[in-house]
Amino acid sequence: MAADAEFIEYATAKTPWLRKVAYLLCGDWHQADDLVQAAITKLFVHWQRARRAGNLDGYARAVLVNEFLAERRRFWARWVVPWTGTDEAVAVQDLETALDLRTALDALPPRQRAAVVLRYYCDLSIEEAARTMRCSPGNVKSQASRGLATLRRNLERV
Amino acid sequence: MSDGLTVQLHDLVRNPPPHTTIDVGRAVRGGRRRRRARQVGGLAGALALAGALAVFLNPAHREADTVAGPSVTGGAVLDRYPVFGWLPESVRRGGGSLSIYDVDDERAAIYESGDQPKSAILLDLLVPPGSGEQAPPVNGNPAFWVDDDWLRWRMPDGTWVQAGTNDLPERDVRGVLHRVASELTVVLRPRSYAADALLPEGWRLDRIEVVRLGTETAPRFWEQRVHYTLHGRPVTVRIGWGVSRAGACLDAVSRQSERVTLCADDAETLRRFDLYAVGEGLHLSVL
Repeated sequence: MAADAEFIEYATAKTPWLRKVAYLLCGDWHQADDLVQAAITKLFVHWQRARRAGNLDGYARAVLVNEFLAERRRFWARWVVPWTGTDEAVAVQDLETALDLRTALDALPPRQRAAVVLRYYCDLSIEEAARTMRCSPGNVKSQASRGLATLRRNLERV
Repeated sequence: MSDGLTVQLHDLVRNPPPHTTIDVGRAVRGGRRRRRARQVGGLAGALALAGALAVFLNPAHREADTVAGPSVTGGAVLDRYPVFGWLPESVRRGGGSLSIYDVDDERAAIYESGDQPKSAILLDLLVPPGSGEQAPPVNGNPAFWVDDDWLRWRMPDGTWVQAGTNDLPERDVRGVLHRVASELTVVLRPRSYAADALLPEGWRLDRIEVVRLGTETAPRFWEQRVHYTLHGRPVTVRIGWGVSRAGACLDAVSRQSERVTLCADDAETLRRFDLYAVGEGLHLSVL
């Protein structure tokens, strides 16, 4: 089980880094832990393929980001069915009391947030971010640009 | 701002809390279970494929063949709606609900069970072709697996779609996805609302959702929800029949004579929307 030992060594070493990326994506350390747990489980399932990918860190980051985006899809579905207005009211309250970057990040839609984190925290190029998010480079440009504009607007309002 | 943002993002995660629930050993144990399930599923899928081939090669059964595939002639991403055929029992259970939403220029859909925990089929429309592990063709069109059990395939109109799952209890996830894909069609329906109209300063279109509660076999009316932000406050325009209400709402009809319900958290925001609707050519008439 050399491959398993290799995975354990890799996952143990990279968990702190993945946890930080996850926190920037979801804005909560508990959720970040859940996200990383799900991501490294998937990474283990596909460990042989991941090793062949050539860029193990990039593969792990892509699994994490796509786990986040998939989870957000479900979150949004729960949010709107049935619609009561409660969650939106909370979101407004958050915006009005925004005092820091974290709150401004929380106001970003998931894909904008992922694009901002990949570009400005992970320092990925447009093409690398596009591969990670499984979309076109033009889409990443658009998402990151809108994300930055929204962040700026929200921070200025504070 | 971008240089400063990079520094601030690094500052934000400089001191993570020391306690973490991440357990690499648990990931290995869970991952092994899933690998075993995939192997069992793969064998079942191979047997099913062999059976299908046997039917296809036997002329006596040719009449039973079905030709799946919609006639899609193009159109903007906002006009695309998925129509599911077969869905696993775990997803149909409890009535199920279909949600379609747009985020910027993305469109996605979820068919989710009504039971807890919710099982779901996730769908992304108009994805780039990309590449990955080869999968059995979907209705004769090329398909492959991407990342973790997402099936991406080419639709008859040449566009690419991908599907994934969440919390699906069925063991053969790949088999489920392949069958869902083989019976999925994408239809074009004209938008009923000028959601992409030029918005004045202070207005931002956040997303559009189309929600239909009920099963595919007993569908209810579609309800379209267009979410805006106006000076930090959410405004939701709801178009459809019998929409439930929350916050301050008013009824109107659009120029297409559709019944429209405008909802916001407070009457003041709603009044602004009313003014905007009148001033910006949305042609809403308050009932």
